[in-house]
Order: sequence, then structure tokens, then C-alpha cells
Amino acid sequence: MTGHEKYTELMSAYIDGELDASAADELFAHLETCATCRSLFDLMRDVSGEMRSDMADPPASLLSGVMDAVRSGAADVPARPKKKSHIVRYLSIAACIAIIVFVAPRLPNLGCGSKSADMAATENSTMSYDQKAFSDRGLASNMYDGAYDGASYDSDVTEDTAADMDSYIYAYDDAAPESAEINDGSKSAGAMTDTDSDAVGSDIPVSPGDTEAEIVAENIANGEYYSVVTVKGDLPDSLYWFDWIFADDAIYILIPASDTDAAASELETSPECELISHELTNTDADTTVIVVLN
Amino acid sequence: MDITEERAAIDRVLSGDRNAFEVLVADNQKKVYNLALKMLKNEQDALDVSQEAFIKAYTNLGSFRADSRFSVWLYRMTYNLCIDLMRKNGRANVISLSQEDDTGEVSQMEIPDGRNDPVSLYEKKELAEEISIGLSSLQPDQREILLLREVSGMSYAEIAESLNIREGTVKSRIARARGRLSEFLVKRGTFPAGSRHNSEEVSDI
Repeated sequence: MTGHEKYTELMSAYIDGELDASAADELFAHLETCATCRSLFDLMRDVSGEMRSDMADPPASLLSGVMDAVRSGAADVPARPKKKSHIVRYLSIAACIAIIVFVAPRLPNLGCGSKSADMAATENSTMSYDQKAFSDRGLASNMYDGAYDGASYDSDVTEDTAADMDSYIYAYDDAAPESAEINDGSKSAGAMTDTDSDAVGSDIPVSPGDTEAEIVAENIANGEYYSVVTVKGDLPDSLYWFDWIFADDAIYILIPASDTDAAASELETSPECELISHELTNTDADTTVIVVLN
Repeated sequence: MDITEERAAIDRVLSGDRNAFEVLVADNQKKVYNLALKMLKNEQDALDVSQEAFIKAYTNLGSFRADSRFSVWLYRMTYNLCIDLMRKNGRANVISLSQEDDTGEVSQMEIPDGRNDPVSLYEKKELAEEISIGLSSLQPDQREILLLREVSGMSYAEIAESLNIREGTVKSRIARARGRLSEFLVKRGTFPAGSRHNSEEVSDI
């Protein structure tokens, strides 16, 4: 970590009340001698203070509107969580195998073009019973796991690599800050998985200077994902719990490959959502991308 | 509301007590609304999205995991709903540092000399607006974690636990987000240029 990075972190932690006394002493000793850090410290404090003080009171109609919907039954009543049984696990595995065994041989070009993907989507509809079972129980209980496993993309690997990079905040006219960002991007663009592996997605190649969305687009072009599901319209609720990556012409949602069938099935049956294509591209990959077109 | 009370309220809702949801709304509405307001910059949209987030949370409460905070679960939903609405309203093109960089040589970019202008001269409203624009320029993961920290006031340990990342990562990502945001504001001329490290110092690193 460079000196500037280190002191920026100390300043930030101090502002949040997360710095111990000895580190705070070190920070203030540095601020005594460094006018630029002093200036940045003031700026960071002003911005933070502004963000914290600038809190509006929500209108009363927020609470009343929500509770009216809840009490009147306009909002669907929540169901108790269902434990994922061995049967459901078996069914979901069986569904995956069934698709590979029964669909793949009939589609020699599977995953190589949108035509075969459309056909695959059609074939998938014949699997709807198993998938629905998985969708109802499997995805619902999985989606939260997925969302937060996905958030673990800043692993040791990322941080260690980033620590080797040069200063990331002052040198915007330098290649270094972009490089530091790539490490975040590559992990978050590939790490949506239902395993605990920090390394998932790290083998996906990254070019320097790409944003997170560009990395996903490139990975799609290179067939790096297990499956690419393209949709248009309003999304079912379950997808709102995942990390979204915001591109100019689409939103990318990364989900564990094991949830692909459940998600595709849900998207297909969702009334306001149009499933445009579903391409199975790389059976070795552990992440599926859902492309939501604008 | 501590996590035990939160869990008790969720259990009551799941047992069929609809009224029990009210405490969860009351306890989180200010943070949810402000998160939406900071993202959308429009009171009506912020209200609509906040209501939608709570209703979706209610409907999906069965899939909420007991070992996590309801609030963080809710903030993620709110955040995604905001992005969704921005997309639908055609506000997808956020201002970003890299886009500005594409318009010309960064080294030639003029940074207004505001050295003698104390920050207090800026209207508070203008500063809030500039911060809001600056937030849009951040990488999504940086923006999210900074908003979680500043709007929700969660500790690093709480954020780390909620997002399933290490505390050191929380610390460095928030610092990076603040650094970027500061950089952006200096570039925009919101703050004096003296707030930025000069190029000699950077090249020494």
C-alpha cells in the first residue's frame, strides 16, 4: 500500500470512528506535515458531514401506503421459508442432468448461436414441472445466499493485488487507478456463485481499462458464462436480491449457474417479462448472466 | 431496534400478524427513503420506490435469512429498484470520471482555482447536489457501500457481516469511494483544487 492510500484509509476510518488511538496519532502526525492530506481530510469530512446531515423525513404516506397494501391484502402474504430438502436438491440436479442429456444431443449447435438458444428455451419449457418445484423452493431459499456470496468478490486475492497497485485516487491521469478497479470488476463480474470459493470467476480474462459492465459484456462475447439468459421487461421479485451491474444498454445480473434453470423458468412464466433467448455456453462455468435489455 | 426485536417482528409477520410489519417499516423508512432520494433525486420517485421496496420485502419475507440484518436486505432491494427506475426513465447514462476523461487529455483539464473560496461559501443545497452527481460517478460497489455507511450509519463490522466481505475490505472500499468522490468534486470545481495531491507527489509513488 502506498503512503497516500494508507493515509486516505486512515482518514476515512477516522471519519467513521473506526480508527484506534495509535493509528489516529500516526494520522495526525502526518497531517501536521502534509498540507495536501490536510486539505483532503477537510474535504472528506465536509462531504461525509453533508451526506449524514442531509437526511430528509419521509412523507407520512410512505408508512400508511405500505401498511394499507399489507393490511388490505393487496400485497401478497409472505410464505414461511421452506427448508430445501434432499428431494429438491435431487430434482434440481436431475433437471440439470436432464437438460444436458436430453436437450444437448438434439441440439448439436447448443450454445453456439441464438437460434439454438431459442430452441433450447423451447425444450426447457417441457421441463417446467421439475423446474417449478426448484423455482418455488430452491431459488427462493438460494437467492439470498447468492446475493451475498456474490458480494464477497473483494477477496484476499483482490485486496492483495490492489495493494500492489499504485495510488488509486489521486492519479486519475495514470493507468494505475483503472488497474486497481479492474480487480474489483473482474471479481464482481464473475463471482456470483453458490460455493464459498473466493477464486470463482478469477480465471475470467480481463483487459486493462474496462469497467465492470464492459468486463461482463466481454465475458459474454467470449462465452465465459455457464449460460446467457436474455430478457426484456419487468423482472420477477427474486432477481432484485442479486447484485446488478449497470451498463448503458442493459442490466447484467449474475447468478449461480445452479440457479439458471429456476431463474429461466421463472422469467419465462413471468407475465411482464419476455424471455428472448437462453444460451447454454460453457458447462464448466459456475456463473450465469441474465441480460436485461433496456 | 436490535436484531432480536427485528427477528421477533419478522416471525410475527410470518405467523400471519400483518400489523407487525409496521414496526419494520417505521424503523427503516427514513434510511430507505433517503437512500432512494439520494439515488433518484426526486421525492415522488423516492416515495414510490420506498413503498415498492417495503412491499416486495413483505411479500418475500419468507426467503429472508435469520442470520442477516433485515435492513441491509432491504437496502439492497431499494438500491436495485432505484437502478431499475433510472433505467426505465432513460437516466442510464450516469456521469463518470472515465467518460469525462474520454473527452480530452486529463492533464489539460481545467480545475477552477477556488483556493481562496472557503467551502462555506457554497450553498448547502448546491453541495448536496454536487455530492449526488459525484455518487453517480462511482463504481456501483463503491457507491453502494458508501451509501450504506453514510445513510444507514452501520459500523464496518456490521457492513462486513452483512455483505459477507472482510472488514479490511469494507475499510479500503469506503476509503476508495471517498477518495474518488473527493477527486470528482475537486474536478468539478465544487471544492478548491488545493484539495488534490499535485502530480509531483503522485509520480513519486
